[in-house]
Amino acid sequence: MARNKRDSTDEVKELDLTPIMNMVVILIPLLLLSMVFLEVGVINITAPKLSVGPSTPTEIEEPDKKLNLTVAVGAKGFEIGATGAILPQKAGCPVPGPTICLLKQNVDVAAKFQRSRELLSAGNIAEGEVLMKEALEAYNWVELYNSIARIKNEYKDETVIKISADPDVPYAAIVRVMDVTRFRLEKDTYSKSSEFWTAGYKKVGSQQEELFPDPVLAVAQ
Amino acid sequence: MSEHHFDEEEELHLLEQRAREAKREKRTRRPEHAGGLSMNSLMDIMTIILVFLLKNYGDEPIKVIGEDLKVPTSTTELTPEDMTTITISTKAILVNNAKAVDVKSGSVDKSQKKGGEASLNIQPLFDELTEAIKRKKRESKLLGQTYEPIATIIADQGTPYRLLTEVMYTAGQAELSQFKFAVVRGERKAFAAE
Repeated sequence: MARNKRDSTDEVKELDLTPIMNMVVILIPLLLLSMVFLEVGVINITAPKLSVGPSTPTEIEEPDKKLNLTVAVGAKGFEIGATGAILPQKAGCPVPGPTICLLKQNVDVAAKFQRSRELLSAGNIAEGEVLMKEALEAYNWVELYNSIARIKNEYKDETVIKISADPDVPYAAIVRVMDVTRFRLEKDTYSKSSEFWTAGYKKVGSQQEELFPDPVLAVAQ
Repeated sequence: MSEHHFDEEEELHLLEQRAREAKREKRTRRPEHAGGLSMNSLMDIMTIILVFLLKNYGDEPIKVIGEDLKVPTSTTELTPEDMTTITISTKAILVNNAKAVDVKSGSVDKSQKKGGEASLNIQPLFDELTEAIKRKKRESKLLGQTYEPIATIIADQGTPYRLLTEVMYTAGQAELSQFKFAVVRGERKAFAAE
């Protein structure tokens, strides 16, 4: 009997963890909910060269040697230009028009972007995203990549690409342009969109082969 | 002799019975014992999860998702660092999580701009940025680091290019010359049309 008593007092001496358990049980779902399971990355951007302000370092430019590759994103397609010249238009595009016109020419991209923006700011993220995706799919990304890869083959040392856009073009489209023009894929030319998006990057050792990884944003005034 | 034999058998029977009883007792007592044990391991698991989550929670240098903010997806491989951030959501522009100016349907009200509608300079943002940079400079001086004029821009996917350039121009005026665009990392396959 005496032994039994001692046993029971021993058990009482053990720490009562119930309140801690309660706290932990509450804390874990709370933290799990507030955690974002997304991996964040960044893209390095050089600021647009502006005449004012002491911030932008004055660079002595050599206009003859620079390619000055510029991609402008508009509501009708991509305009690709380099040192004073604009690339010849892709066959089958309306004249006058951008270098690479839309893949789906019947899509009113500008209106979709506008509507999507309205939905997004109204808090209707799901519908806004669908519209944004539809509008982005109307662009001919495959042809943009083909042209850029071709240009890179001729100017192997260039890494800078100037990106400009119409005032209403959304940020997502600009990031997409940077994505397409950053690394070389397995092939230089693609014809099908599905094949293009599933292609992997071409590797040199463990590194990806670069196309134009240094985007500079130009200000549309 | 026979009695003795009988006794032995009885003893055996008794022993067996006792063993069975002990076994039964053991069996019935085991769950109680096992319950306490699993509680301990559960506590261990929970403590580990808690520490892991708390660590992760503090680690994230920038927040890229919210009610009025969703950054686009990209295939970039660079990782973000802790630096001055400019957030452009669908409702406001923030500098280091402090609100600088309101945004309405993709643009800043022209009264907030220095020099009218055509101007690129957003005055409240400029003021807020100058403040933030001053703080950052002092901070790096105290820590003995060199100050770098870099800012991370976290913009909503629908932000029009015009607003983006306005923000970058204003940041340029505030002596920020290098930018990093924050994006959510994704696979190329996600961009394919269905």
